[in-house]
Amino acid sequence: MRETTEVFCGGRPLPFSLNRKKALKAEFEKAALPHLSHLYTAAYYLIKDKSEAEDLVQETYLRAFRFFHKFRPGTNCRAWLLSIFRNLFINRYREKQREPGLVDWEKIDRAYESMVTRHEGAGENNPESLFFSRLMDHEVEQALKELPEEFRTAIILVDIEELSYDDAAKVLDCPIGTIRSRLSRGRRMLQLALKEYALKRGIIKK
Amino acid sequence: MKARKEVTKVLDCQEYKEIIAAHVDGYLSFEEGLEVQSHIERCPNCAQKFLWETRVSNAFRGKLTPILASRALRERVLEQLEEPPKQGIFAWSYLPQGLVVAFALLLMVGVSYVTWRAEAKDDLFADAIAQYRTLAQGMAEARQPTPALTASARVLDLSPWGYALLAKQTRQLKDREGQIFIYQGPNKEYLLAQEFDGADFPPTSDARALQASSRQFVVYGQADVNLIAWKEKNILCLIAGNLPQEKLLGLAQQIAARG
Repeated sequence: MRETTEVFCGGRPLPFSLNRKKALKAEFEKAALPHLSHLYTAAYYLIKDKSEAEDLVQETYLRAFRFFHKFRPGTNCRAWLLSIFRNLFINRYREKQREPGLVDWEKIDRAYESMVTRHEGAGENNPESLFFSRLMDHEVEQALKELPEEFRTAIILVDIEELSYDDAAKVLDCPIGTIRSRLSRGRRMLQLALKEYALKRGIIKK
Repeated sequence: MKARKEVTKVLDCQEYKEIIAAHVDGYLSFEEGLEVQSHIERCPNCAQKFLWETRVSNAFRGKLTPILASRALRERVLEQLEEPPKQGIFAWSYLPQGLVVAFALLLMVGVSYVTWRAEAKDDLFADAIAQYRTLAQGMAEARQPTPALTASARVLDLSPWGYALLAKQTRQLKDREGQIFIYQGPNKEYLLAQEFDGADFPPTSDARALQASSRQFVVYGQADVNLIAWKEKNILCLIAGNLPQEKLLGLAQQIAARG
């Protein structure tokens, strides 16, 4: 629909623009587009397929634009976009998702304790204790992709997307304590997975 | 407060371990941080974990960074924004096939108000409500007396009902030209009136068709804004405002009765 004349009032232009859609688009671009790479990153780590991740990000932006009137200026736009993305992701991939397998926390905790004792005890100057920083980026990415989805999501939101715990809890619609727990456990699992990579690469010894 | 409770109760090392990561991230309250710090000072095991998590956190920084979205994705996203946002079920592409078939059957039995062949971007009802919101908001923000205009509406002259015309605008829908009028009523409420030449009712399953005073009216609403549309000779008339549907319908009937 095209506007052909300006609104006027008593012969004077009104003090607001009627070109609503154009203004809305500009406002949306300014608020939402800077987060495109962040949305893509979350999608990529969750979906693990570049093309599908791009499709879902595109759909997220389309939906966000459609519901932009619901976005409250001054709140975290990245968190808002990630909430929309999260809903789309759940709807599309719910069927494909496997039931999360049972996690043996006792085993993980024991392995974690052992790793901390050994490497933290080795001292800061021991190269073995710095094995995380010697791993390749793609190895860290791969280890992250292999985490169960709920822990992976918490790490993506807080460690990559740099959301506060509060915003991450809003995106996942869960209590903040759940975020703390998933993050803590997720990081432990990630560290253990990375230790395996470091062992395979010979960065650390058994 | 909930988080505070978690810490003020007597925690064991396992529970502290769960919140050490949050302490490293700086997401504990001041009191919580003090509580954890105090425990760390007393417990060598947790102190070791805290040091470990701090160093791991530093080592990870830079490893997990956002991946740059491709230029192609950026272009795709920008391209789709060029199209005005579709309004849910108004969009043809959102209609399931079954509904399309049902819609075609309705056409065959002569329901005239669903013969609009516009695309979603020409959604007249949603557009009218969006215009109402923008204009009413703008009027409210203007906070200045607005001298009344001389009405030039062919049908929708609401002055006999105590409405003052504040603004008017010409709008183009494909090859048809329409007029928008913004009125202010006796109770300072705003009302949008719109006339379109030769336009039929746009299709939407959200709208209800009503027969009143031997005329067909279409009633539609979005949240707090309602809209009534009807045809007067060859003009599609609609009024929209933050008023109950019955009140708008009553007004529409009176306008229609005047002819």
